[in-house]
Amino acid sequence: MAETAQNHGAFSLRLVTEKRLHELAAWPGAESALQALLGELTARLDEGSYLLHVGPSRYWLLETGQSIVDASVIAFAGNGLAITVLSHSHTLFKLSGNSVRDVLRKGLPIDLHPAAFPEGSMAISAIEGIRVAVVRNGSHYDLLCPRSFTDSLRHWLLDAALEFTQTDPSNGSTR
Amino acid sequence: MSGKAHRIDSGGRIDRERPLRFTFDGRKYTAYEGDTLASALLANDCLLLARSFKYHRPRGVFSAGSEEPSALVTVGRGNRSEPNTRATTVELHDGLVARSQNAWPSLRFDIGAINNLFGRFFSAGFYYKTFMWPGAKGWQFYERFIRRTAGMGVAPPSADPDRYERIEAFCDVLVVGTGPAGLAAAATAARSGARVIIADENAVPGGAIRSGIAAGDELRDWAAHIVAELESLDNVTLLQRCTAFGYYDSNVLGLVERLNEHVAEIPAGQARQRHWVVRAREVILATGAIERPMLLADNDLPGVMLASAAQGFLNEFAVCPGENILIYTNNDSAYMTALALAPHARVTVVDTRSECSQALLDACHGANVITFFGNQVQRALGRQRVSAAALNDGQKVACDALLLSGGWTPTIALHSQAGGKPRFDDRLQTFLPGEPREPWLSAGACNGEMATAACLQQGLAAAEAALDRLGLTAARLELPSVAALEASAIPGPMPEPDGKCFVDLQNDVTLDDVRQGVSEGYASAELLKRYTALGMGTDQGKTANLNGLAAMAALRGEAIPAVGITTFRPPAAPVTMGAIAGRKHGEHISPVRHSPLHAWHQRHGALLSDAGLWKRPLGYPRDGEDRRAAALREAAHVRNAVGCCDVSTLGKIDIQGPDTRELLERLYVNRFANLAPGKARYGVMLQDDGFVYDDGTTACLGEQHFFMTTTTDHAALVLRNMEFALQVTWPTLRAHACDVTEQWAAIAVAGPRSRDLLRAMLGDAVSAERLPFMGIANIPWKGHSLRVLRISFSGELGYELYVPADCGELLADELVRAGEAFDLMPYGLDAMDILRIEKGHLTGADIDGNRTLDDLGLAAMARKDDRFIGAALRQRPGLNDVQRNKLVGLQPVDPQQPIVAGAHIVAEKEPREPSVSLGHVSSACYSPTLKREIGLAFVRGGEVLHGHTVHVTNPLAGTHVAVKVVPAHFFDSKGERLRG
Repeated sequence: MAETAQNHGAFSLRLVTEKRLHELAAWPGAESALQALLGELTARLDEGSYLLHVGPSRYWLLETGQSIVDASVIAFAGNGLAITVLSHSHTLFKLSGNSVRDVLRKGLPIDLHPAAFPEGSMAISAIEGIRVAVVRNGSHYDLLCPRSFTDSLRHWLLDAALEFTQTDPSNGSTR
Repeated sequence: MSGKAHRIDSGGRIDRERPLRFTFDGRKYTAYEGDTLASALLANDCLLLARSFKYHRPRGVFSAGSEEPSALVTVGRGNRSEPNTRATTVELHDGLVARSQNAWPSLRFDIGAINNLFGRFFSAGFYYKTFMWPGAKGWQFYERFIRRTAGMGVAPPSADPDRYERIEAFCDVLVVGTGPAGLAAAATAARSGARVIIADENAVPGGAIRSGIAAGDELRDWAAHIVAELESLDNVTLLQRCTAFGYYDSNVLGLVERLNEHVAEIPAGQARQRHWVVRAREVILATGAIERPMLLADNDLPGVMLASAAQGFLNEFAVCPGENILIYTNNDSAYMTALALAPHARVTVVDTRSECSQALLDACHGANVITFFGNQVQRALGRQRVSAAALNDGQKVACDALLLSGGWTPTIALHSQAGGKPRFDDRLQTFLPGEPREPWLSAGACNGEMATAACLQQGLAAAEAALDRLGLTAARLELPSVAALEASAIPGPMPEPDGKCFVDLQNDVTLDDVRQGVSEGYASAELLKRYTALGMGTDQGKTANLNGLAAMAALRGEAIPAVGITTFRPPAAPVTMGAIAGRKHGEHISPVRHSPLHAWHQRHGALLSDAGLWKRPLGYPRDGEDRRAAALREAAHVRNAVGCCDVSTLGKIDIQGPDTRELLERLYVNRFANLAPGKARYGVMLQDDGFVYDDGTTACLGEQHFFMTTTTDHAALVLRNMEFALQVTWPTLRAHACDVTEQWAAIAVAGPRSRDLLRAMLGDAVSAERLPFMGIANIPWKGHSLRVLRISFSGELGYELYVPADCGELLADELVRAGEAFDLMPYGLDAMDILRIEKGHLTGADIDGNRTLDDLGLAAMARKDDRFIGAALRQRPGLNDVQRNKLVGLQPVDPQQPIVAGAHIVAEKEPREPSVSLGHVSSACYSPTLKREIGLAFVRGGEVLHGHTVHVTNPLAGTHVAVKVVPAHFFDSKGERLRG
């Protein structure tokens, strides 16, 4: 996985550049075809890949490992389903660290408490006007944003993390 | 003892081992850690802290909390200074700098105090009545002088350097307040497993327990134990120095936490304040009550304060406000203050009632407290501090502190922001919370319950009710026993005095002002507030409103509820602008969008500018060139050779499905049903109301697959409208729209040599035969699919190249490399604008939401079947008036005379005000091709005026330019170049 990383101890931000994103959507009357495809894909999903429900009869398939969008999947296109490549349209941030929830709470109006947002949860929301999809993925949070906002969101995240990443002058440690 | 107000040797929560130094108006003082600025100055017998808003009267500390109306000071230096800060809420730190405000040349000798001598002329409404002459602009002239002499502190000279944070928080139960009721509620909820946030505006929890109003060793120990328990629980967030200021719909509350105001230096990276946006499932409001002052003349003298404030200063900071203290009251609670102060000072109580409870009386006798019943304090005496009190019976009683206790006013601002009208309680003579409109519960003194044991029980009951609604079982909580001697808070009579008696100390509103307002017909609480400023300002009238309403009711011969109560709105307490803005300032004020070619633009020296949220290149100035020169060079080069321009910001929508053609037919005014695969077509969309709102090109990729482009400005709007149409208007249409704006980088290549360049790069796939005008081709390129549309916005032979966004820079670099042989030049928005104006092509400057197809000269595009959005309402007579402003071209009679967009068009040869506008210029530029100024405009009658001369007038710039009205196509009107 090619990626760039900015690690500040309590908060780590990695920009995943190698990923594939497809939108899978059904038009009216073809919802069952979509469910059939989703069932097939779910059985084949590997670690680092998942489906996000982003709207009525509309899903995103995000893959960071081996692609499962093969000819059998593409064959669904046109038969009631629209399959659209969006791999270049969004940026994937992987966020981790002890303070990651505290960083996200500064702008994400989603309850990230483990009881409310358990492993595997996902939500569509916005951070300071930037539309984001957030996914709790193991100890990480995945954050997808439109690619044009990448620099803004990265800057916002690192600035938000500042209070957790500054060196404490009293003991020299990084909190 | 040193001085009159003084520190006592023991007690309080101050740390006598940690002395602090601070200055007030340049004078050095010492105090202790744990002090507030108010307690520290009182301990130093510094009573004069401020001058009043209008009359510049000397003012001191009136309360001990956030309700403080008088002791407003400026804290800090330079950009970190904060005006109008309440000395009672400023926590002392070493090196703190504070200064008085609204006084010159000094606080003790303030020349503005002359206003006080002419006070009878400055009554309510004085400014409104006096400074309206000699005309409508009179007030505008006087205002700056008036504001200079009256007012508060001065805002810092430049930007606040501190950080402010915002946090989105969620909880099961939010408890506001940590008095007896709040702690009981919070502990019950926390032990029951609920996620609890507790907010308290003070540095130390406890509320009335902390200030000593709720007394007793067992109670204090219980509170300390509960606080320690709450601090230890993972499901609890205990926020001190955190004020709940707003209660909004859906149980959302706004809190501001003062993180680092109590420290000398804010640690690196840390915020000064944090704005909490709390979404709570249940809210328990335990906000307490504020003592209501008695009324007497000259009640604003330094040394006059609330009795509860004195008790708080004693219990928290070991400061006794005087040696010879007079308490003026109408209720029993003042006697608890008297008993608390009696060991440290000589205390006299003047009670308007004929008696108090026997238990209190006995206790007072035992403590040597002197009592006067059935009497009244008429006036406070003294110059810059109180020295005596004049009683109703003619006696003068010497005192160095005059404490007021007129009953209690529940703090119901938050309740009222999220509830019905407050209800009046005749027994307590005050307003209590109305009906909840959000899931909140009220407990304790804010609920009108002043007995500590009952407050504890109410807190417990509120938590149990909230937990029940949440489906949780309430855990057990043992409540402490309280002190045996507790006072009733039911007030007796509160007579109105003669003389200058301030109802609202912060706004210098007197009883006479209230009387005058009522006599002039300002007969409701809301009107009186606006006429006199009663209840405005940093304290929002917390100590003033009820007395103002009572005075108003008495004048009208009505009960208090009959005159009503003013509406409570956020913020209930002052909130800094910084806390609201958070990190949204400077570079974070709004997000920025970067094109896939952003870094490429920077490498090629682009002059970038904001276009909505996008950063887009205006041009690529060369050494010595200004913006205009670059634009003219680039535009001319496109006409003569070839240029490339980043158009990635165009909206792009991928549409698939068997009914897509039908969808397009309904969205666009023109025909799309017959668009063949491999072809693109220009289309125009109308709003429901028949006005044009966007135009763009849609390409047919396959029988059921289309690729739409929109303007940059309307990319999101077009997609939103399309989604609405598919999900709501025509939910059975089998079509799906997907936003692919960000998926594709797009580069326009335009100019007479553009085909040669692309053929050199891509081969014959872009030949005139294989890719004719409005044709599209998908061409394999470096392992990617390159989508080429032969369309043109510049009016030149042109193409738009689309590649996956990550490949955008690669494509641009490849174009530059291949373009060397063809003299390729990048061009920016400025050149693009020149090119499209020359061609008469439209942008958002022209399609401004007020234009019909006919206005734009596009009426012939509309299908006759009227099955498209906007078809019905475009038939309205007003939209078909021949006198509507329609698109034309303008050519200044003097070709070098510039005109500017936005200027109006008039018939008059000479400038005249006012003139009848015939329309306005929507776009204008200098055309390097035509070597003259040109413009597009919307003019009444449109083409009827072709050949006529009108004038473009710009009073702001003082220009008045004769222009000839011409067709809107200045260049290649037959389109031979773009079709060639």
